[in-house]
Amino acid sequence: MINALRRTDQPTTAETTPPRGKTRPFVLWLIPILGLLFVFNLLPIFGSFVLSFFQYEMLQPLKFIGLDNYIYAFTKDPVFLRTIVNTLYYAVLSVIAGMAFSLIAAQLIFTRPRLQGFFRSAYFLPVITPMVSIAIVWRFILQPSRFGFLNGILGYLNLPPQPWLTSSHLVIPSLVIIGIWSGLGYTMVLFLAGLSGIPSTFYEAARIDGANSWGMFWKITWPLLSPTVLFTSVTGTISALQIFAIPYIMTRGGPENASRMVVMWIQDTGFAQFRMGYASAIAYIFFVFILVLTLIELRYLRTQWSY
Amino acid sequence: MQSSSKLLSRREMLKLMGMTAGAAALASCAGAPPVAPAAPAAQQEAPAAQEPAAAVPAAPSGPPSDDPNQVAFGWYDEWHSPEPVELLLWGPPGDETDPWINAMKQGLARFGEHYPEITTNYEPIPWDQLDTKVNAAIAAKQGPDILFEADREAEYPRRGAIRDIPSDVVSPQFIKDRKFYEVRPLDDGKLYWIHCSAMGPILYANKTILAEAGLKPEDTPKTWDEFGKFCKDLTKLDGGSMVQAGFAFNGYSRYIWNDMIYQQGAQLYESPTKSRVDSPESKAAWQMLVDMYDTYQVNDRTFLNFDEAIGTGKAAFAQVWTWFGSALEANYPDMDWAPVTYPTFTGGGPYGRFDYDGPGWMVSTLAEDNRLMAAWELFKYHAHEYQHLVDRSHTAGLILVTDPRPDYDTMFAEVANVESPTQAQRRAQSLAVLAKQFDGGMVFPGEVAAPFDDTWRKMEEAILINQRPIDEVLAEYQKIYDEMLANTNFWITPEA
Amino acid sequence: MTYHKTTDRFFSGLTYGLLFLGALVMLMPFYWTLITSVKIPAETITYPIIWIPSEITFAHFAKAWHANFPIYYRNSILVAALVLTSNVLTSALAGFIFAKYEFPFKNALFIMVLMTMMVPFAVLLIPLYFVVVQALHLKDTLWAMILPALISPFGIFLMRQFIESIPDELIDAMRIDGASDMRIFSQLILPLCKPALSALAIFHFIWIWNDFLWPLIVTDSDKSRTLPVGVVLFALPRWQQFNLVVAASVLVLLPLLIFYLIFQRQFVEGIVLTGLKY
Repeated sequence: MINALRRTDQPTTAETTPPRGKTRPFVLWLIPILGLLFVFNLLPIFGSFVLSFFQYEMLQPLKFIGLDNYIYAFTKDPVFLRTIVNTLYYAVLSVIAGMAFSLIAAQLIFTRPRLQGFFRSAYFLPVITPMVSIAIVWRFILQPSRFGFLNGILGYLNLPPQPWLTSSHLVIPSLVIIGIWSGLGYTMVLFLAGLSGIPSTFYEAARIDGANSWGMFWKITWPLLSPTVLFTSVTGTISALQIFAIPYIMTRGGPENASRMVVMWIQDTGFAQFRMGYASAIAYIFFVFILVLTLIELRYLRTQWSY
Repeated sequence: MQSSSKLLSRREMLKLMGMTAGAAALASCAGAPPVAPAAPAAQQEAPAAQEPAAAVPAAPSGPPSDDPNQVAFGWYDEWHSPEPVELLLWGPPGDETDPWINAMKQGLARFGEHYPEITTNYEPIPWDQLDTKVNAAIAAKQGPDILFEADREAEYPRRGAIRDIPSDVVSPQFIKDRKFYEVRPLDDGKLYWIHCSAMGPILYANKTILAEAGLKPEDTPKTWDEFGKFCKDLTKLDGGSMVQAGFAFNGYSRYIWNDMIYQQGAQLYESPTKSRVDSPESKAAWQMLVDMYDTYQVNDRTFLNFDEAIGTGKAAFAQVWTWFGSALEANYPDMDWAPVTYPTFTGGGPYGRFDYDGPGWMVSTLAEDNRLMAAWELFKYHAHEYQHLVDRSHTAGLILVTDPRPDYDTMFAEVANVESPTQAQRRAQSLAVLAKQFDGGMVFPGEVAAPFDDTWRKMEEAILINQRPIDEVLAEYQKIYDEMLANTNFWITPEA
Repeated sequence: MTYHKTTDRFFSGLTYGLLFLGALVMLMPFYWTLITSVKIPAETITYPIIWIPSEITFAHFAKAWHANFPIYYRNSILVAALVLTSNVLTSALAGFIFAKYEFPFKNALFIMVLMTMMVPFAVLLIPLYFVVVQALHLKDTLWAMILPALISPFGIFLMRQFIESIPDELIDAMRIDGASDMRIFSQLILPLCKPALSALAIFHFIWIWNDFLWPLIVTDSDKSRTLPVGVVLFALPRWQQFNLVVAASVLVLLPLLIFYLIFQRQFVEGIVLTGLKY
């Protein structure tokens, strides 16, 4: 993903290697492959773009309306901007907190070789749990009454029950908790791999210089993990922004619109209200939004490590 | 649309049925009579198909039983397809433990026996996804031939998802004589539904919890204020948090709010494009629900939803529409409950909103040729089959309003004092309570379309969960609601 | 020295304490799911929590299984199997061609692949629906879910990166021996790519097994519903009972759990590889 963005403005390695004669017939294999890609990916991408300039409701003819859909999204649709804010809030919180927790978990597991296998499996288990099971089960775990499982546990600590999914303040943090729980193992495994790639001689040298573990973490571990951090934060943000199944099943966007996410709104305007043209327009705005966010993230994180 | 509300007694309601049917018949005479393209073919082919049927012992025909009510209902000219037809039908999800689903599937099975050449494939569609699915199917021109009336279909005619009922499928005379309720939702004056039964809300009381407090369902007070106080003793706290609610209504408050508006003699609609969301009655209704949390303290904002609460014995009362009886039977068969009359502000009627329903099917615009003909046969069959009308209504907590209809006085008398009723008797008891409420007056403000229900839900979340000031929320939602009324060309009701 | 040892032991204890606490948090929902699926309803919604049910029942499973689960399983497995096979083969093939061959418009075509990789699925949703349903008439078939996923732009990208690092000399040596392009691909490239391909397969497996939005829109009946859509259909009808819903979600979870416990190592290695070979 990262290289992809970098490579578009650089000559690819293939170009720098000497050409091996003429085009070989073997290359024709690309035709069916890229053909399918064209029909099922590229065509819809352009289709969506075209559709976004039309008013298209079912059983009514297409009507060209120029930029009206885009203007409507920013000026008249109160829900769309709310979904952008919600989604961004969710993504930022879940990516940052998720990275912090997985880095801590990876660091702790890495320094203690005993039981590594057990911890790794335990932390990784939610990653392979189907999203739908997660949504169903957590809906009950986060039940807002005293009978909810999490509230029952809070009861042991003499804490009052919390209205997890029914409070507009808690609903996104609750989704973040689920997001961290289900995604931590994945990022942690990446960090573990990153950690094992750091030569132990670096640490030994630093120890001789009298560095403590805190200093070693910031001077050695963190900079050397930067590719992993970059990768996980960019891919993590992109996938967090596209959250759909969990809030769709658990909260249906409520209370009011507190947990309505962009993809839910695209699905809703497109397939429940049947404003296909408008849904395409917000999908495109969303795409540009993701793209810009990714570029900002890349630039920011790169400058952090341009030493 | 001049009168703001219409309160009906049961007798008036039945009278009204005849009247609206008559008026509708007149209306359809005045306008162009709606004729489906395939319908004339049905008439032409009907005798042709029946003649060989007499020679070849294939398809039976004529009414399925000689029950006197069935005889009184009459029958219709059947059309039997010369070749096999497969119909795709979208219905509600659930299994045989739900008596209502069961009644529907048995009705389809009887139709299948009567029409061996027609196969009906029943596909369950989740309630939440129905709108999406129907829209997607219509756009793709591929989907069901028959749709189930899920109470969210008021938008379907406008979207071109369902067909209007041609007069030669079910004749205006039959509709009038049998006192079906007709629905003409669009200004094209076409008939899209005929309804045979009515449903409304009642209270469900957990007898076990009441008995623990030395109380009986009959002791339930009649006004909201007394009811709130009464429920207080049935509410239990543990360490400051609620573990048993006197009155559980989380997840259902919007419907109670709606009823409470009509209980005050008001209406939700002023005209087809203007709602009364921001009205004193609407405010009083929300305030009463807020008071149930804060003043009477018989429920908690974070407590279980009404269905889980009452089903698992964590609530003394819940207020639900009468379909809930079969849901309780399917999911919580061991729970001992009794139906109770709905409290009001005054202690008497009017009691709230009711809705027409059944026989249950709508023919989709996707049905064509033989499938369209067969779909109308299913429609006719279930509009004429008395047993289906009764079973479908009673299992879903509906009172049949057609003529003839069951002898309700006898039926209610039989179950009135049964201490430990069977599930079927319990359903009859709920109908008796509902019938009494009809006597006290109930309102039919029209079908509720899905987007409106969504708006109610958001209002409920804004006021009850987010605890925003009622005035502010009502002003905001009045605007949203009226905009939606204007955009959807939404039909309210002929008599509202 | 002793000071050092005690602090060391203290930190070691603290680390393990934290790790165990973390593991407890991660595993608790699974424990809750399992006990709830076998609890009797009376012991389900309780305060305080009943940790060890006094009575165990499998009735919820019996009822949940009844709801056409075998068909959902079959559909999910069929879709995943076909998609994964195609993803693995086409990604390797296209990746190989992009990495080691020269042809006209190579860069433009590769940029096209990259572009499709970065567009969120929500953008494709509506036109894709028209392509699959109106043009190809595939609504409510497994093909509706299989065809759009056959080619993985991410896979092509990943494999191109991976294959680029294979030395040209190996290919040239085989070619001098008279091997055809297809033989080079199947006997040299594919075996060398095995770790990357298994990583890709696992990555896509998790993704396709979980996919919800698209199957939700294109499936109407049990003959084509996949597990996630099927279980939601079962779990969200009119006020379904608690234990039953949880039992149904255990049925979705269980095969994956077993699969994971068997292929644990491959899973973890696969993720590391996709993550680091970007």
